[in-house]
Amino acid sequence: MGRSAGFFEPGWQPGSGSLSAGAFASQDARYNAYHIRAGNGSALREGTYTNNGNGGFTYSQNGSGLMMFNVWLGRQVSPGKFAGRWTSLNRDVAQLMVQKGYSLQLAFSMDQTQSDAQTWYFMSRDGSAANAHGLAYDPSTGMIYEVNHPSRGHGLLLWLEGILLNSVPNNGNKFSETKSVAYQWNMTDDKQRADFWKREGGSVFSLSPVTITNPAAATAWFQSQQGTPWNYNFFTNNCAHYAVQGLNAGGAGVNFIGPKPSSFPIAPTMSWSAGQGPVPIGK
Amino acid sequence: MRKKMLTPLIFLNWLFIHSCNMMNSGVTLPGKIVVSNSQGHEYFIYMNSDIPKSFKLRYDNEVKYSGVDWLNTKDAFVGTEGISGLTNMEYRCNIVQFDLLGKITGRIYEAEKGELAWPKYSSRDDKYLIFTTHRQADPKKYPFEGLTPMLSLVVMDIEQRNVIIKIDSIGRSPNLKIEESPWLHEGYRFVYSIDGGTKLKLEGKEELINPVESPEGIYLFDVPTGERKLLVPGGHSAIASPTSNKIAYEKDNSIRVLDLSTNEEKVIYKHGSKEKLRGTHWTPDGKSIYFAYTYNWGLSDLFHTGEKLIDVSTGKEIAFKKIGHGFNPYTWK
Repeated sequence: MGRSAGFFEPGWQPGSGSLSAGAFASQDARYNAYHIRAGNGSALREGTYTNNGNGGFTYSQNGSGLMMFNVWLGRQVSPGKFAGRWTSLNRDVAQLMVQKGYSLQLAFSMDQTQSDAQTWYFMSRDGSAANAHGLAYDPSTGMIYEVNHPSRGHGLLLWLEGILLNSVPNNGNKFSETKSVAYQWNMTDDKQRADFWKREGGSVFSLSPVTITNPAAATAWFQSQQGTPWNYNFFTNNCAHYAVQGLNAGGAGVNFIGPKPSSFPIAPTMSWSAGQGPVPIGK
Repeated sequence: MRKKMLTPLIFLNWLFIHSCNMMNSGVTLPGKIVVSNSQGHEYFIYMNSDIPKSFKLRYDNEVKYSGVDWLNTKDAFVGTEGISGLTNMEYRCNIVQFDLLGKITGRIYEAEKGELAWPKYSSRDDKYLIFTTHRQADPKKYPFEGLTPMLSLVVMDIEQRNVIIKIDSIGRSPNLKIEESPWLHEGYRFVYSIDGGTKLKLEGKEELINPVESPEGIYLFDVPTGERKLLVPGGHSAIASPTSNKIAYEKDNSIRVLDLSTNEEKVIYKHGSKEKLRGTHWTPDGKSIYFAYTYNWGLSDLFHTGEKLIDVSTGKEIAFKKIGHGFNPYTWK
């Protein structure tokens, strides 16, 4: 498991040990993300792998490429050799990939340390209604994490529209985007809290407590996504998947098909308007 | 089969939205509008024009300036100044005055450590300023206080820099609503509302995290006497006319105007439950009501958005050049 030039990003170090099932299971709470190299083709691709919550993951390269990989079938849509950062902690998927003969490499951010367990919350808005939405709330910092579209909502039809037309109308605003974006709201900032409620107010929210064994890892996962495009998929990679992945990065161990919140995979996202988005970290 | 059904739907949706974008004509909105782009902390000033000027405010880990609102008697703003402390519990938020370039020209309210002041609207003559404050709470003891903090309402004499009225625990955010233009045209009276439409619950529990402890509706507060009364039960999002003794507000899926001199109420706009209004505001000439809206089609999460300008005297819609400010934090006079 040597270090490969161009594979690890600055600030990331290779993990120790092999990617055996036991090691992976015992170590996953320490890592906020994984670098992954898979396949044995001639072309090496690096980018971000994101668990799509459906036994596979999506792959993107600088926001322009997309590759679907079905681990359960043990094959990828397009052949090749893939490497990049895998931002999912779904160890079952990783173990299956190893079983299928792919080599995986681990890396983790150096500044992540284990910290005391905390209770965070999965926020579900109008869970049974058409405008359902899923978010994550960290009361220790007052942060709400979500993935959404800065200029418009998406959901099923707009997601398909984006694929077909590669353009999302901007409703008179000054930018157009085709992807969802990961955001955070600092609810201790009165302006951001006011903006958040201005957009979300008037709805019913249910808060599900989630035990986060490694808050630093969960925070790091969400912050690593902040402001980056999200390959929204109405069915398999929606707003709730985003929130749950971040919670699981902190060791929550939430199942997508568990008891509650059992509606995660079908929860669509909701809209907001340009300029109402919260503020990137450190800005 | 499903694909065949979806394709025309997608095309119609695309066509509809693009058509709406092309229909952006009519009168230029009167007055001075400042719209903030919170992602970039940039503010765009429209002064009787649909071409803006802009300025930026500092917003970093040490100091955060934000949330500008017009003063009424001069072209200047009041806004918030967030200052970091040694811990999160020491973070505080002052109220300051800015000029049109975003430069600070004075501090109006100095918050204590852990005290956050927000928002702030000055009376018509800029004699008084109303704002809310709350305290940072220990998240281990009060995990939801960050989502829905309990607020105090403060009235301050701007020139004297004195707090003259403070009402503790008046309501929780976002149940307590004070919109821009809360001050009535005559006298030192203002309106605010208590609205329980936003409900927070723990999974599996029926009791609310943010219960409403006062009757819901629009309240009128008289500064000289310190008296407050429930003016419109069930109403919310009240805004006072800048030119007459009237208020506009939302109730039962409609916008209504109440003349406080005659107690006459008039519905000027009706909408269905699928339409959600935001950013409602009087035009500075007191003739029209502006708002932005989101209309959910009830099919998946498909929806469209738009803006309207309603003539208060006729209830008819007026064509105008849209700048999309109702979807963003903005101030208008």
